[in-house]
Amino acid sequence: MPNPYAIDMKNIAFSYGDKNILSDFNLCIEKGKTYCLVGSSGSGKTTTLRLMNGLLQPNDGEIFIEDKKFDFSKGEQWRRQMGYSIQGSGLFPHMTLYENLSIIARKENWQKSQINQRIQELCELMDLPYSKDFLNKKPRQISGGQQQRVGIARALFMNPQIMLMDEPFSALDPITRAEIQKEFLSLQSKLHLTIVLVTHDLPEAFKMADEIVLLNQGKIEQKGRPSKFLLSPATKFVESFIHSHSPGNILKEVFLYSVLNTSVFSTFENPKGFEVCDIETNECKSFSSLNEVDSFLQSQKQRYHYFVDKDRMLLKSQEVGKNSHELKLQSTDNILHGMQKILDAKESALPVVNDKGQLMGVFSQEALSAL
Amino acid sequence: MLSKALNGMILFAFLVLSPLNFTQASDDKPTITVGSKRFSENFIIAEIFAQLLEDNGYPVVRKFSMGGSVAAFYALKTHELDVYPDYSGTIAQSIIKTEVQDFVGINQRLKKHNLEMLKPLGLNNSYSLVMKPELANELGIETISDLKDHPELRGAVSFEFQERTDGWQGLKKLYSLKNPLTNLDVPLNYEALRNDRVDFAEAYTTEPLVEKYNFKVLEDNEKFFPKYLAVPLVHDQIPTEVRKLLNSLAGRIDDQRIRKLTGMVNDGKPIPFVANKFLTEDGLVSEGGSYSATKSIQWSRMLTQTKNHLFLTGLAVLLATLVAVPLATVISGRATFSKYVLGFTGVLQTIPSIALLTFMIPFFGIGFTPAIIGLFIYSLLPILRNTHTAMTSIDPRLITSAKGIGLYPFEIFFSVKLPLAFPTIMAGIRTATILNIGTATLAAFIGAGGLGVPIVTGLALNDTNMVLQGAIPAALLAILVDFLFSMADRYFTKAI
Repeated sequence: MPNPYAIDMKNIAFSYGDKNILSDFNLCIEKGKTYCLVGSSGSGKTTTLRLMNGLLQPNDGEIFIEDKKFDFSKGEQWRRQMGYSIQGSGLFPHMTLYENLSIIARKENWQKSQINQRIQELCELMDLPYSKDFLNKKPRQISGGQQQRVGIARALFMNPQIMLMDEPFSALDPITRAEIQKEFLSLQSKLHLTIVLVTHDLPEAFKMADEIVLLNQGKIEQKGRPSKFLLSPATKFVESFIHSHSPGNILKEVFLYSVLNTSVFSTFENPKGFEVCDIETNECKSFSSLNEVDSFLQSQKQRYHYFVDKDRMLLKSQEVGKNSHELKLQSTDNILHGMQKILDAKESALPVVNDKGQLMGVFSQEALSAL
Repeated sequence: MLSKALNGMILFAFLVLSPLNFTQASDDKPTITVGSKRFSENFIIAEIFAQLLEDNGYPVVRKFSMGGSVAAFYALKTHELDVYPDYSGTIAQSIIKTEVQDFVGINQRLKKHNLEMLKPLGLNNSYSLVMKPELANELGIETISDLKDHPELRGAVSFEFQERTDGWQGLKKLYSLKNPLTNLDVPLNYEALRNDRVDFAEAYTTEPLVEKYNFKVLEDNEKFFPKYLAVPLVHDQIPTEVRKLLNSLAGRIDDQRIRKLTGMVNDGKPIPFVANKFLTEDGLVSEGGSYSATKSIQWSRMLTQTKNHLFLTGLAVLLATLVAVPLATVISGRATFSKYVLGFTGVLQTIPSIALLTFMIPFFGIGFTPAIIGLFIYSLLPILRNTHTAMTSIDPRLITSAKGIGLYPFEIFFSVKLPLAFPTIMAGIRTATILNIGTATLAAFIGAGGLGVPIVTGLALNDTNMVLQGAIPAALLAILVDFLFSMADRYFTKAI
């Protein structure tokens, strides 16, 4: 049976000399998602990343890429099929941008025309000028942001399905970083790569990740959607880690869609009665009266009705036993903005909708108190 | 600018690659190699040997300017030399280390080394101490014993004299002397004495300058200095006819004669001319002999010496580069190993060059091989250290990046590490080359030729013109090579 995961680390043990970094470590990376490895320095996040492409070899355990076992004796060939990008771009200062981009292709004896075509594609993709003048420049002759773009373009050159990135944006100034993060998100929405990104910047992880993996002393403390880290931290460590890593920044930099609680039910009124759907699982139940819906929601510890139309567009919200209102938040609002609206509305939670107006989940005071 | 540099490089290539001039061997008679130590008198006698042999049909190779008695002695033992002039006292005390002073006794001991002193030439070049007569009269100093009462007087002696048991070491014991010394080679110590920088100096009894400057010779009242009879020192494989020819000089060069000959040289007459004059006067060779002095000889000799010099320097640096760059690359990943290797090379670097060259004589003889080895050793450290620094200071993230994108180790070395380290490695090679152009002048001490020959010979003869004939080309060479390196450096750093 084919392995459903892009990367599957099984029972990995790794040590530097006497120092145990990882033991009995398991991690599955699903295809097409972006994972952020976070943790304090020494937690093993960079080690984990380097194990994934064989830069480090485990003392024990197996690593599967797709459904093939990683062959460490052919590490270079494997790495050429995976993208790799590090802090400060990792471009070679003595080579031109052209030489940097094409280095692996040239070692693989690609035709010149093939190389040029690929470079043109990548320049368009990464918003880089495709000109002889630009490509003949040395890395130091272009800006840090452009260097990072070229670094990512080089990692993409061989058309990898998996990208491993070690603090790729941390050498950039905050404005350029925000810009490149945004570009990278839109790039990912086009390419649907499997991305594993190591970062020490928690707001970055909240912004970029489909899933966050928080490591502590070589163990996974929690793995899951960013909102879970705020709403239901798995351990005391996760809670204090989130708190100690500048929650203020998270408030401003993180969009609501990363932290919203999706365990809510939509209520759609149709001629036969009411259809109540779990928006996370899309499991629906039919009820004939609103009272039945009320008691069902109470059994699910839900305090709000969210009335939607057939396209799940939010119509109004109503706390059980109170008046309805039409207040809502946009998923692209940041947390600080969401917080203000909740306090202004004197509500304990507000529904969040996407740009089409469809219900995505709720942002609640519980989520706030977790911050 | 570029075309000029190119011309320079072509000239450089021409100088290095064109074959060296070798003396042609004649069919029937073997080539005789004549050596000499580094002072006028020894040069003259050696040149007399050489011309006498040449006039009798022997091809002669001159290896003058040997670094001292020990260098010349070992060269003779290994047949790098066939003959050179030395002195019985020197041979006994500082070479074969014997108390025996009589001629037959010394020769018996030399047999163990398969060497032999031929018949004495006549002169006795003993040591003496000299002073300016004005000061000697003022202080009432007549004998060496009188120096004991004036321990404040400063002396100027050569290193060799200071360390020899038949020199200062024995002298100070016998006469209880405590005077401070400065090390100056003959004849620079005479200059120091004339200019009152010192109060007494070491002198040879056959030294014409003693007469010329009217120095007072202090009487060796305790008869400390042994006899230093000048002899042709040969190895026992020397052809009988050569032995006969050299013995025909016996007794012909006494103290007065040699003072006259040395005086002529000091007055600017070329040594070959002086040697020829002696041989003609004594009817040992036909008029004119083998000596002909023209200006063009000087130029072609300078060119040969420059070629030789470049060849020595270039080959040594090339070999050092071939060894040091891979070695530094291998050790750059191992901190402890690096420390030992760099430390060891550092120690090699501190060995004084003359000492190193002399030390190698028993193993490698004299001439080209030990010179190359010595220069090679001196080139190692700058190249090794620069390569090591270059390799260890490459940003480790670049190496991680190179591995991460899937480059093989050899690709990382040739495509990333080496190009990044290249300017620093080149700077090391540049330092080594420039240093070596200077150090290679010392190769003359062990008969390896090069521009050091006119420099050390000129210094020994106190002949500024001769010194400049070596020093100016050497300096120009250093400037030219440095310029070529700077052009190369500019070209390559532009690439980074």
